[in-house]
Amino acid sequence: MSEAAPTAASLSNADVRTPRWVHNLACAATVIGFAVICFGGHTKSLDAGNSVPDWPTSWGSPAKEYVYGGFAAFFILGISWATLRKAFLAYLALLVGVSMVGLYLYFGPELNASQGWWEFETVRTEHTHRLLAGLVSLTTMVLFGTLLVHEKRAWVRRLGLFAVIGVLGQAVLGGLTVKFYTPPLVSALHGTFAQFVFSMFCSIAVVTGPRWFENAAPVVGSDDGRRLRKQTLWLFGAFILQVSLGAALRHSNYNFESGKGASVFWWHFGAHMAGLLFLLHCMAKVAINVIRNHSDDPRLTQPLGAMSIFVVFQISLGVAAFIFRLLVSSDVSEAERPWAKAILSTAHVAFATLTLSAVVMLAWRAIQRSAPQTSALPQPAPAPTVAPASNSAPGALPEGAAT
Amino acid sequence: MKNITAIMITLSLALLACAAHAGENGKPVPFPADKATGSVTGTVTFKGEAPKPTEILMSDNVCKEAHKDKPPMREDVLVDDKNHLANVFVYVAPESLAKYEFKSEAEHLIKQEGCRYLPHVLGVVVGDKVLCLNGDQTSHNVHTSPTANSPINLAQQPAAKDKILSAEDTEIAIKVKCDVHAWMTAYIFVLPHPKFAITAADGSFKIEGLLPGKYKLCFWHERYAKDEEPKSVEITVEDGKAAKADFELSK
Repeated sequence: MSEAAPTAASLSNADVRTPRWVHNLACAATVIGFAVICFGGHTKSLDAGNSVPDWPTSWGSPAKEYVYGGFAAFFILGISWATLRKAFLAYLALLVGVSMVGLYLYFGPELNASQGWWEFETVRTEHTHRLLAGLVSLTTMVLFGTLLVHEKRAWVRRLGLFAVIGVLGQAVLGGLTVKFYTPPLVSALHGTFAQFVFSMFCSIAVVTGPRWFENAAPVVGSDDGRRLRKQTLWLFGAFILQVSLGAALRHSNYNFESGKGASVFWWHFGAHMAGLLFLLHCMAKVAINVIRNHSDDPRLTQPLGAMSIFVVFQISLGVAAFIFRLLVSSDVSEAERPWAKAILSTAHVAFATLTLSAVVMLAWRAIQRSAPQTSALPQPAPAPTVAPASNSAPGALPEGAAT
Repeated sequence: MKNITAIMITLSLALLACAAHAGENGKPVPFPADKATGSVTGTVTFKGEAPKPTEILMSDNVCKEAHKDKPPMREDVLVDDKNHLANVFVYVAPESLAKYEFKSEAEHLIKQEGCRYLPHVLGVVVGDKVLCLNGDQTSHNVHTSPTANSPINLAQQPAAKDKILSAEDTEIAIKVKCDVHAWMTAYIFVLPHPKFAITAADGSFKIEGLLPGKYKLCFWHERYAKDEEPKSVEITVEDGKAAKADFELSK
């Protein structure tokens, strides 16, 4: 058997390979995004959404003039850099952005003369959420700028743009929740959209990573690849739906003590359970397909394994949070909410995000394996073709040829 | 076609006339205060074993300093040694006085002292305003969550005094809280009339200036008689006399 010659696909892989440091920046955005979601979830668990009454300042600090001026400067510099491609503009934008985050951190909310804001649990959680949100916004914009300069694939640059729009949209939603005193609909949308934006960070990290460009195992069958792609996309949709139903449940403002809002709560709970069944159905279909037809591809089996573990934790935490809420709620006021009661709900949100990251990896890998040869995605190297043997049956396919 | 149009116009005018006429019949009249010589008194007690008072664990150093002599206790259930229950909001049901109008533009003050809202329960009349004064050396946020009135979430630095509520519509138990100091809560009641009272430490209350007649008297407590489960009794007030209305609340 002759050695396979380098294919056009593998050459194009090298041509479009994203620099490693850009991928690292995408990974950083993903990690910071996860932290933002954790603190945002904990803010809701503590009912601390209104503990910092103003936005974009925090208890009046820093002054609004500095905040708006800083944002304006950052955007102008960022857009100038993207347009003119002058490195010093990027550094200036970065400096302004870092200064903005530092300004918030240094001045921060000042509640009394003897204690820092980090000593008040509700303010600590909400303000940290804002700081991390500022950091992830900054990181996303810098990431987009680097994609503009260093990323050759137009669709990845577009993904970066969508991530920037998403993160800015999240900032606006967060501001609206503060300005309108955490209205349930806006707050639930803020929670749901956060996961969607996180999935964009994950996606950029996946498609710029070194494993994306490695030669993959041959596609078993084009129909099978398409089926897997369809199943993973359905899985992603089901996941976002379940997240939105969960957010609606969390923000239904049911008062366990007084019973106010009971009917709305139980409707949302029923919908969340129905969503869970649908999600598990989609997960099962993907799992069966991967195990039967793609068990040789670790880039499918590994995220599948992670997703399975995460979802077990996710369901367990959800059940625990719900039972704990029912058991503890009867005679305890908000002021004495046990630490565990809040942390269970927050962990449930955190594991949802981890599960989502595995779903995103699965989906992109499925898209990659099912992409036609002429697409812009880097293709797996086709299997080497072998000349048919002289005694083979007429009409038989050559050995090793793709079906 | 012309006939149908004429009929439609006539019907519309008739409906408008009925609506106007109905409005005239339902218009409230000023309350005859000079004739309102009746009153109702009573005591609210707690049935059963009252929960033991528990200490509030305050995180703010300023709050701790304000209570260094005596530990701060939860104020959601204040029961004395005779099981008398304080901070019960007793009020005449709005429908009992629906035919009278009461005009009021008073200002009420809630103070934040020692990281507590004082008073813990406040009743106001539609048209009144409620202000909040921060008497502590630490910042608070005053967060109200009404459904029929305008909400607010206001950062208050020390010594700040701000309006937190314009009482526009009747509403029972508007919760006021501080999101920084989670134990700080208060309740504001907005009623269309001033016939209400709050039980004192000995559980007693008195509502004066009632006309003779039958009334529905309602009781609210933040733990044992919340707005979703109103407790009430029917009382009969006689001219110049005080009706008696003792009441018992339980878990």
